Amino acid sequence: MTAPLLEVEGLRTHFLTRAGVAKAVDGVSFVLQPGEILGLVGESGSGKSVTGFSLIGLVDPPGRIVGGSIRFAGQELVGLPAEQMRALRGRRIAMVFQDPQATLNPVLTIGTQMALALQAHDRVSDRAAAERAATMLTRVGIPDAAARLGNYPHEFSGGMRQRVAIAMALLNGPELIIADEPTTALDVSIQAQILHEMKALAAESGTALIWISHDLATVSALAHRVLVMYAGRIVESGPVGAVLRAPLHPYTRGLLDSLPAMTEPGRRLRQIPGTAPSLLALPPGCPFAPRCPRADAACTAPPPRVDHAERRALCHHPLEAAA
Amino acid sequence: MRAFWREYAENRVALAALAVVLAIVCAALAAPLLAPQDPYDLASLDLMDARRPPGFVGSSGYAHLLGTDAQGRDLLSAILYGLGISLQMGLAAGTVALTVGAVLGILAAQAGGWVETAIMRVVDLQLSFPAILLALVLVAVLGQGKTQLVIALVAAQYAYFARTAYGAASAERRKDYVEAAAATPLSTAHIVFRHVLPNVLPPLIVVGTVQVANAISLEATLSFLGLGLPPTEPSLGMLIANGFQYMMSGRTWISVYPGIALIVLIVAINLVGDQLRDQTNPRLRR
Amino acid sequence: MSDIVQASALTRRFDPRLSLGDRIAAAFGARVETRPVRAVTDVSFAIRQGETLGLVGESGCGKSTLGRMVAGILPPSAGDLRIDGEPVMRHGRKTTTRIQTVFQDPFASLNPRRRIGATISEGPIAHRLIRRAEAPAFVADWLARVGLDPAVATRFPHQFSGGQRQRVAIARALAMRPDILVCDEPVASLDVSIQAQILNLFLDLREALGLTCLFISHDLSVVRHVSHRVAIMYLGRIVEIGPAAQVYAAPRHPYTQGLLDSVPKLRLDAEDVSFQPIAGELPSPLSPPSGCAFHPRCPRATDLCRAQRPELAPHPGEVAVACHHA
Repeated sequence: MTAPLLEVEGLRTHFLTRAGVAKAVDGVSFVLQPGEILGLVGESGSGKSVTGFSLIGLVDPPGRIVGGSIRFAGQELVGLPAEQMRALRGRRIAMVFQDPQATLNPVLTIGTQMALALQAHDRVSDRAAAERAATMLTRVGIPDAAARLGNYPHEFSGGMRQRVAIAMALLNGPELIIADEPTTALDVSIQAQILHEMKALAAESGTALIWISHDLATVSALAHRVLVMYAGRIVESGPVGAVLRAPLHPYTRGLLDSLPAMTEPGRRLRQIPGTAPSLLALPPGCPFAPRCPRADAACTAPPPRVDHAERRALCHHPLEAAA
Repeated sequence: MRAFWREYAENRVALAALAVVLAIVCAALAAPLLAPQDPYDLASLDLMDARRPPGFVGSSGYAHLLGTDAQGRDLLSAILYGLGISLQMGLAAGTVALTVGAVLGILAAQAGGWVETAIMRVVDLQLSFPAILLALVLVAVLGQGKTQLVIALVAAQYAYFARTAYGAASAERRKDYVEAAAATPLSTAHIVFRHVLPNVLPPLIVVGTVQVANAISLEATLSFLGLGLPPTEPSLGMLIANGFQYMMSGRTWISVYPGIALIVLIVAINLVGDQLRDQTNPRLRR
Repeated sequence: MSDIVQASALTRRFDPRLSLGDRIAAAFGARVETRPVRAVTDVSFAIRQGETLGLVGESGCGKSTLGRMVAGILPPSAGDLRIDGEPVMRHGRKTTTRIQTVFQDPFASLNPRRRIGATISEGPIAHRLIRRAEAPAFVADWLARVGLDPAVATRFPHQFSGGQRQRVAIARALAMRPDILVCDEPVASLDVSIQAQILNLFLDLREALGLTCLFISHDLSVVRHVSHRVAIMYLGRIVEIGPAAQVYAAPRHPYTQGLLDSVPKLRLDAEDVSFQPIAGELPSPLSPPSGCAFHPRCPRATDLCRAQRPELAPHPGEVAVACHHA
C-alpha cells in the first residue's frame, strides 16, 4: 500500500462557549488513501462538519483545535501558520459547501472567479485560465461552458451553481476535496446527476474525497469506506458494504433501521429512542448508552475499540458481525 | 427574562446609562423634596439674587450650588423641576405616538390594498421631511401648553413607530405560525391581538426608548425657540434660552448647567435604547 | 369506502404585483409584463375515508401550493375543493375545522412568544370544543398522546428540540379533532433518527384516530412508507396517480421512472450501483414547454408530445397516467 494521503490522529476540536466547553470533535482518528472516497456520516451535532472544517483550518472562534494531529502528505497541519495553510487550501485541498453561494462571489463572473482562483497559485495567462476554466465546467456537466464563463452566479440554477462550485474546487487539481453536504439542498434528480459525475470525476482524476453527509444512502452509493460519527467521536468505520450490511455498533444499526426503506410500508419503524446528548454535558463512558438497547452498567466506562477485519467500532457490546 | 438581564448587565456602559436614567427619574420625582426652592412659586424669587454665580449664599440664607438665573431662580431647583417636565413630556409623547403608530402600522399590514397604500404613503411622506418643521408649524397653529406640545410631538413622531410596526407586522404575517393560526381557523382579531401584536411590540418598545429621548430634545428645541411651554413652567430648553444672552458676559452657568443635564439625560436614554436594540436584534446575536 | 376529499380542476395562479410605476406606465400604453405564474394547473383527485394520499415532486412542482389550497390557507384561483360535499373556503376564508395542518418547519410554525400549552388549546377554546377551565387537563392529555411530558405545557418553543416541536405541532393540529390532516413535509427538517420517531407517532395516531391524510414530501421513501396511494407532480400538474405499491413497483410515467431511479439506494452488497439520472433541469413555470411539460427531458418524447398535452387517463389497475406513451 502507498503512503496515506491524510492521517488524522486523536483530533479534538472544542468550542469554548459561555455555557461551557462543547466537545464538538473529541478524539477522531482516521486514515485516507490517495484517490479514496470516504463517507463521513452523522446526524446534526455529531461533529461531522466541524471535523471537515478542522482539516482545512477553518474553525471559527470560539472553536479551537485543542489536540491531536492532522498529517497531510506527511506535513503536519495542526499549528501550521495561517499563511501556509492558505497556500495549501484551494491548491492541494479544496472544499465544497452545502451552499454554493458561500464560495461564489455574487459580483464577479464565473470566468473571472475561476481565473483568479487559478492565478492565485500559478502564473497563468488570462487566455489559458479561461480555457482551463471552460474545460473544467464541461467536465462537471455544464453545457456550452465557454459561453457561460461570462455569467454571474445568480444566472445559474441551484444545481448548476453547485456544479460551478465543484469545478472551482477541481480547478487546481487538488489531491483532496472535502465536500460538506453538497447535495442536501438539491432535488433528487439533480442530486443523482451530481453524484454520478462526482464519482466519475474522482475516479478519472485520482482525487481523494471526503463526503460529509447525513444521508446513508448517498454515502453508500458513492464512498469506498464510511465513518459513522456520534457526539464528536467515530463510533464505527469500515468498508461501506460491510458496515451497512452488518453494523458492529448499535447506533449504526439504529440509524439504518430508522430509514423507511428498511421496513415494510405502513409498519412502525424501529426507531432509536431519545435524542442526541448535549455536547456540553456528555454522559460518562459511551455517549450512546442512554439510547442504546444493549447498554448495561459496563457502558458508563469509556468503550473499548473493537477490531473486526477492516472494521472498527467503539463499543462494549458490539453486534455480531456477519461473515 | 433573567438571561436577558444578565446579558444587559454584561455591557458596563449600558448598565451605567441605565443607572443614570433611573437616578434622574428618581431625582425628578423627588424634586419637591430635594430642591431648596420651588422655582414655579414666583413669590419665593428675589430679583436681588439674580445671575449669581455658583455657591452664592442668597437672601433666603442657603447656598445656590449651581448659581441663579436672570429671575433669581436657584438653578439646581430649576434643573430638577425641568428634568421632571422634560421626562413627563417625552414619556407622554412617546407612549401616545407608540400607540398611534402601532395601530396604524398593524392596520396597514393587516388590511393591505388601498388602506395599506394610503397609510404608508402618508407615513413615508412625513418621514421625508424634518420632524422639527412639522412640530414648529403645529405649535404655531395650536398655541402653547402641555397638551398642545404633546400633540405636536406625537404628530412629529408617530411615523417612526408606524413604519417599525408595519415592517414587523408584515414580516410576522408571513411566518408559518400566523399561517397556522389562519388555517385553524382563528378570527383575524384573535390573530392580530394574540399572535401578531406580541411579536411586534418588542421592536416598538426599543424604538420607543430612543424616541423618548428624541421627544425630549425636540421639546427642548421648541422651548429654546420660545414655542414650547409657558415661561411659568421652565423646562430645560427654556432655561438654556434664558441664559443664552448672558453667555458673552461670562455668566455661563445659567445655560451650561441645564445643557449638561439635558445632554446627560438624552445620551443615557439613547445608550439604554441601543443596548436593547442590539439585544433584541436576532442578526446581531451570537 | 367513500371519498371524503374531492378536488376538481384546482388551479392556482400568482399574478405579478405591479408597482405604482408599472401601473402608470401601463396606463400610458406601455407594455408591462403581467403574465401570471401558474403554480398548480387543473388538478383533480379524491381522497377516500381513512386513506393517506402521498404527494411527491421536486421543488417548484406545486405540491406545497396544492397542499396549502387543501389546507384552506390559499384560495384556489379556479376549481372546486370540498369535504363531504362542503366547500373548504368561502369568500377567501376557511370555514371548516375538519382539515388541520402540520407544517414543515417546526421552528417557524410555533409562535415563539406563546407557551406551548396555550398554542395547543387556543384553537379548541376559540371553537368551543373545550371550555377554558378544561384547558390544562386537555393540554396534558394531548402532550402525553404525542409522547411529551405533560409538565412542559408552560414552556416556550425555543426550549424544545426540532423533533419535540414537531410533536407539539402535531398535537396542535389534532387537538382540533380533524377528520383530515395535511402534512406538508413534516419530517424534512429532522435528523434520520428523529424522523423515524415522528413517522412512528404519525402512523400510531393515524390509526388511533382514523385520520384521512394528504402527505406531502420530496422524499420518495418516506412517502412510500406512509401512503396508500401516491400522486406524482411535475410543473403544476399530476402526471401519475395510483396505489403506492403499483406506482413504485411499475411506474408508468417516464418522469416517475426517472425520479425513482434517481434516488440512491442503500448499497448493501459490494456491487457498484449505477444511476440513471434524469437529464436536464426543471423548466421555469413562467414559460412552461408546449405539449407535455416533461418532453424536453423525456427519453421517449415524440412530435406528438411536443404538440399535444396528454390528459391524465386511467390505465389498467387503478393507476392514471398523463403520458402519450405510457
